[in-house]
Amino acid sequence: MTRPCPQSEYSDRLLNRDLSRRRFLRLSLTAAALPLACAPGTTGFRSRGAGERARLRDLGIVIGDLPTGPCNAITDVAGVRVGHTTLIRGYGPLVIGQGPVRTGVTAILPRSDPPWRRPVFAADLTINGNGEFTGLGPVRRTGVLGGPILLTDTGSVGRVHDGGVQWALARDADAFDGEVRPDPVVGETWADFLNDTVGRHVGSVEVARALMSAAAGPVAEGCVGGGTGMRAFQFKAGIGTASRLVPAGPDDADGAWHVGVLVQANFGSRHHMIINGVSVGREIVDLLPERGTATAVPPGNSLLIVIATDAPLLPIQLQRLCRRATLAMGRTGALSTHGSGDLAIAFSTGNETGPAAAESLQVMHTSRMSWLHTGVVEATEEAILNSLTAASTMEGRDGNTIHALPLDRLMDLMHRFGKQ
Amino acid sequence: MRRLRDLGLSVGELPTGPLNAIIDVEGVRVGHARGAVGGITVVVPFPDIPRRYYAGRWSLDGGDDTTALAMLEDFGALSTPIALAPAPAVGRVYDGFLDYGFSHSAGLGEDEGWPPAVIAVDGVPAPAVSLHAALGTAQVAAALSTVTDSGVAEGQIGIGRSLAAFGVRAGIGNSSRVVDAGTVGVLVTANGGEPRRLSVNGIPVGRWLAGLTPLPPTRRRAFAAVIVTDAPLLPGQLDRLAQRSFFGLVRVGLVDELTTAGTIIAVSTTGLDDGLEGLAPGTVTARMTPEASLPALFVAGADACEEAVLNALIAAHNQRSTDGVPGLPVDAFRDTATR
Repeated sequence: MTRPCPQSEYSDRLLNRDLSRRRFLRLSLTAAALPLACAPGTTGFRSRGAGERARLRDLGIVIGDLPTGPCNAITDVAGVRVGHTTLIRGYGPLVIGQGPVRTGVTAILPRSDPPWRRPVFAADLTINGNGEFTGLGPVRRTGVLGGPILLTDTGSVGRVHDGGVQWALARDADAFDGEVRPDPVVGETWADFLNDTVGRHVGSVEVARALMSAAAGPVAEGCVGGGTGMRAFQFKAGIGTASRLVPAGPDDADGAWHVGVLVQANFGSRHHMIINGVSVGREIVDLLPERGTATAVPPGNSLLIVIATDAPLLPIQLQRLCRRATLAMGRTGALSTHGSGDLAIAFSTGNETGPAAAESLQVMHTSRMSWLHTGVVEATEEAILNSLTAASTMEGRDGNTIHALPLDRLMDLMHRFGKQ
Repeated sequence: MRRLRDLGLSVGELPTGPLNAIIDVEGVRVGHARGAVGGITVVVPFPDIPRRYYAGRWSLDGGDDTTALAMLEDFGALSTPIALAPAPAVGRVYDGFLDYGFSHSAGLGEDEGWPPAVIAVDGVPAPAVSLHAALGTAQVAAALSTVTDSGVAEGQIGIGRSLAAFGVRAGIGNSSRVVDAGTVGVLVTANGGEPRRLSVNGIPVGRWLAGLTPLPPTRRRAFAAVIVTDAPLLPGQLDRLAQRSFFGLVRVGLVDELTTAGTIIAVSTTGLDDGLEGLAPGTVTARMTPEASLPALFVAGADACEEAVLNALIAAHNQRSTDGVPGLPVDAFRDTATR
């Protein structure tokens, strides 16, 4: 039997980093030096073991036209850091308060400084409101994000919020007295099919661990952090990320902006599932979630989208990026059903804001945003798909099991439809 | 033409600009035009040819018909004069502004006067058929040809013709305030309001002033306002200025539970420097006001809105009206407000 997500509790991102570092060393013989220790995605088919997971690009499946950043991750936006705390404990029947536990928290920090000291412009979009993103009042009022972004499971929102507040107060006892609000932006999706939701297992210790381990460079994907217990299109999913380089002007010398996306994916019906235009969900109709007992609640629907860019955007322009993410959802087959909490937040590191704001800002001309729109759509689509290809089969509470997307069958399909 | 301050009254403690008018904000011009019935008023928030400026909006209950809404909400920027027109004439007035835009650019780009921003003012007491027929391209041309930064006529003029509030003739009013962050100018269409709610600087004048008769309940009560500032505000900050300035309309008693709807558009003449290419390709220079300086602007907007409504009543008190609504008894009003 496949033991799901075999990594030990907090080592996922370490493993991932080591892997990437090795790959980087190998590739750096041929590739020019990259600003971060990340390998460009390899292309072309290679055989892989049954349980081995991969990123979409490693399978030779390329979404869109724009190049990716060095890590093909949200961390390609300079300053952005991601950390996960992954909780996988116990098997067997649900005992509320004990487990089994299949959850965690993913922390995203826009800059290296505490966010309330060096905030970013931000905006959000409620695509479908059956979910939670705390802390949006200050973001909408001031267009400024001064708290960490924390993604977790539905039951843990209050405790994760508390963890974010404790983290802020431990750094600045007067964090709440300044002009910029440090209120954490906590998003959730519903992991109840695998996880002890009622037990609320993510607390301030786990939040602090995720925030303190947050780092630039490669980002662990799949069954990690807040995405640990999640599923998409009835396959195992979770956290996924991707990035794009976006031309800043007509000439190469104009350089490029980075746009990175991180998603926590927990949505979609199998028969709607589309990968790079191929209706994979109509071809792979087996491997549906299996119930160990009759007690489990059906899987829920939700997608959390975090968009980061170093392009100098104002809040109203960031809201345009949020809207573009909905187009990417549609390309994967999402319908944003009534039960979905489909929520997006976007931030820009391209300007200082808050008390440190310059009187005069350089901002993108509104008419020059089309490439950024393209980048957001491509990166969001790829991030969603990475959350699927990276996630392993997982057994959770009551023996409930969600299967991984079988990569060998996916590859066969893509070959058959000429998409790879 | 008399104004509130000519009666020895004022609103709030902040100083006004030199003319106590929306045109105290540099580069802003206002023009009016009239048709056989009704009229339109135009606020031009740039000195010469169309250029992009940041804009924000707030509306009560969603507001009435407002064109350019999509661009206003998505880009937070406009490049057009802002027109106030009776609801049935919105399309014809819009068309008139296309003529204006075409005169500057056949391409009608988003920074060349497109799309026209026309705010529908509901409740102009004339048959819709007449208003529709009376106002269009000719009135837009007339209003634009008379725009000036030397003075703003108030009361029963432009879109203010036939408007009434607190049971008396009202119409166009305007006012301004100066704070550290910049000058705030407002122009309001005063329309609606129960007589007993009329309030000046917190004094319930409407309850003490005899002889004000409520308007017939069939009369629709909607307001519109344009706020302009030279404080550098971003689109989201302008949304907030529009919303906070609304408090002045509530304080003076113009807006209450009988009000049908209303729209406020707020504009910054300095937030966006579209002509100056930024340091990086594809960027422009934007300016913002620190959070700590915003409250003073909010107070300025609200106070100016309150005073603009009172200016409309006082200006209109001895102006001709077509539908027999009486004018404000100015002397009794002053005595009541100062007693």
